[in-house]
Formats: sequence, C-alpha cells, structure tokens
Amino acid sequence: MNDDATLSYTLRINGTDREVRGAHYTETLLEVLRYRLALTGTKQACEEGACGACTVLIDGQPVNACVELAAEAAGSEILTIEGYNPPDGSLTPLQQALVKHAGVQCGYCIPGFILAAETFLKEHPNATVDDIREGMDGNLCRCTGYSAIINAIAEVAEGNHAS
Amino acid sequence: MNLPSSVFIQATTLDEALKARARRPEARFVAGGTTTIPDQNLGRFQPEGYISLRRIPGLRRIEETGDGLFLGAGCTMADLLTNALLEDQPMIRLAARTTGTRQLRSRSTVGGNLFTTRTDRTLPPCLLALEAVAHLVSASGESRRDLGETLRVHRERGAEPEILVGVTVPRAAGFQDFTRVAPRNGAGNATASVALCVDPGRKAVRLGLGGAGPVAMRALEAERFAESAIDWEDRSLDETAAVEFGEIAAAHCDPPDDAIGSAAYRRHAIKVMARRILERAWVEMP
Repeated sequence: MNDDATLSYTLRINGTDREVRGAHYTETLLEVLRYRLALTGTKQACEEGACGACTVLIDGQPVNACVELAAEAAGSEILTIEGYNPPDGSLTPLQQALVKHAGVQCGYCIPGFILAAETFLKEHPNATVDDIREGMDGNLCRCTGYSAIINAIAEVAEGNHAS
Repeated sequence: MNLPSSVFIQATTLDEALKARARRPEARFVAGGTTTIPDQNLGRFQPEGYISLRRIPGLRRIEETGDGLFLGAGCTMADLLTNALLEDQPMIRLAARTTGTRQLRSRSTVGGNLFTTRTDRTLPPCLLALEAVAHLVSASGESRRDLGETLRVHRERGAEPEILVGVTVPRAAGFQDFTRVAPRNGAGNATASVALCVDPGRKAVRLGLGGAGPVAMRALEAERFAESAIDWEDRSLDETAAVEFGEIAAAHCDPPDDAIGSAAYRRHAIKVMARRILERAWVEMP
C-alpha cells in the first residue's frame, strides 16, 4: 500500500479523543468505529446511506457513518450509541418507551433509530405521528413493521407536549 | 490532525482545491460524499484520490443579492430546509424535502445534486425551471453561466478543472411547483420529475425535467408552445393546450432505459405530469 494513502488523525468520540493511526484515506467512519476502535454499537448494513443502521450524530446532526469518510469527521464531535446513555447506565425516556411498546425485535436497527429519533425530537419536540413517520425516513426496520417504534417515539413527543 | 497526503486533500481555499486537481487530475472532488462514498463502498469505482471541498469557507453561504438568492454549492439539503431566507422558495424547499433521507440531507449538497452524473435527483429540474445561474471558478477565473448549459457541458466533456461555487436563483413571481414519480412515496430519488414556473407578469413558462435525458434539462419546445397557447390577458388556458404541452415535452426528451424504469414509462410519466402541473398552475396561480 502506498504510505501516502494512509492518514493519522484524532476523532472526538463520545467526549473522548481517539487516535487513529495509518488508516487508508478511503476508510469510512463506520469502518473506523467498528474495526479500528471496536465501537460495534454502530451497525453495518447497506453501506450506501439507505438504511440508517449506522446513524451517528456529528456535531448534533444525524449522519450515515457508512457514507462519511472518517478523516472528514476529524475536528467534529461524534456521538455513537455507546455514548448515548447517562453515565449511570439508566435508560432514557426514549429507550423506556421502546421497551414499553415492544419496539425492539432483532434490535439491529435500534442504535440508528435511537440516535435519529433523539435528534428529531430535539428539533421537533411536539411532533405528530405523521411528522415522526416523515422524520424517521432514514431508518429501515425489517422486523417490527414500524408501528411499535413510531408509537414509542410519539409517546415521548406527547410527554414533551404535556410537560 | 491529518498528516500531509497527496491523495486526500482537505482544501481550505478554492485556489488550493484547483491546484490540487491540476496536480492530480484523476482525483475526485467530494463535498457531502453521499453519492461518491456509496459508489466507492459498492465497488462502482476505484478512488484515485479525493479533494474535499467541505472546509472551504463561503461554499456554504446563503444570502440575498441584487440578482436573487445565492445558494453556495456546499449548502446541504438540511440548510435549505432550515435557513429562513428560503421561506419564500416553496419549490426548492419541496425538492430538498424529497431528497435522500434525513441523514443524507445532513450531508447532501447543492453542488453534489447538480454535478452527480445521475439524472434522478430532484433539485436540478427545479433550479432549471427557476432559471438559476451557475457561478463557477477555474484557474482562469470566475464565470457565470446558464445552469442548463453548465450541466450539459459537464456531462459531455467530463469533469472539468472547475468548481461550482454556487447558484443564484432570480426572484420568481407566479406559480411554481414540482412533482415526480419515484420507486417509493417517501423521500428518495425520482424515476422522472417535472418542475414548472409560470410567471404571468413576464408571460413566461419554464419547465424543468428530471429523468428525461442524460442530465436535467429545460423543455424549451414545450415552454415556447405554452407561452403562445396561453391567453395571458384573459389568464386562460385551453384544455387541449395542456394536453399538447405534455405531448411536446415528452416528444422532445430522451429518457434513460434502466432497471428503475423504461424509457417509454418515463416519457409517458413526463407527458402526464407536465399536463397536470400546467392545468394546476391555472387553478393555484397566486
């Protein structure tokens, strides 16, 4: 391999600086997270930005880690599912709602759904079910048929509305 | 920090990006990456270097100018949906909303949507119908060109050593809307699309087509027909004229034939969508 084609950089992930050494310039953020940093909560599936299983938050925005060059993410704040929960490990209201509504079956899509839904609710705290269906257009689930997941997100939005 | 590399350049100025491209003509410009990186991942092309345009300040600018609304080539679809300056740009907002998914809209750019070699993107036909002007920069300086011509030239000559800085969308009056057929009802790529602007003040009809040729295009013959067929004083349109408008638009395009849709299907869809949207323009004209 041409040495010139490898890069070293620092990624700020879940509040911690992580050094990446000698990564090929074409490596995606998904590959670096999973195979260099062992952060396997970010899931690999379509690799073309269609399914949302690899959703992470970069500077607060939902992004498909599979279509982001890892080197491009240097200098940004990256949040993966490993950094999502409070330090005491308790479940967030969104996770509690997913459990209550049985929104998790095989679970593969769930890390992506949680991060995408969290930012969506932050931007649209009083979202209706129709808003949620459109806002979650970047996440596919092949088990649940969506209703349980959408209902869980809607319950969090209703809670926001009530409070 | 990144170590210096000749195959991965994060340009911080347009000049730096152009010089990097001159040194390495086989390298690709990449901004949002939402088309290029899937192509790389799925083995559709073998990268020979990337020149990232993401860190060039000014490419993400959105501002009102004397000529209209300037949209930087690096603006994302999410920027178009949230920036207050686009509140009176319903067609651009709709095109952005129907592009990709929410995650892709965080990254997908105006420049990428225009200069991807795909014909299924929703924004280009809308910008053509709005008569947007392209701002380009090359080693020989800055230029402004007709957007439709820019897209055709880019397609015919391949990647030129020039960079799209942005587009200016002139202030529009009258009716504007966009419609499409697509493999799914949600956001995503369009099999075929039509974008229409009708300005009674200028007596102008502009029709942009997607999925109708190798790149997005204006339907000039159909536009000329409609402008003469419309009774601008009476503000009326003969029913058969709308039918003919659709037929002319369909007759003068050259749609691709692929796994998503046949050329005949796309041609038929353009005929029907062009007729319906022109009919609707008279009902909904502000």
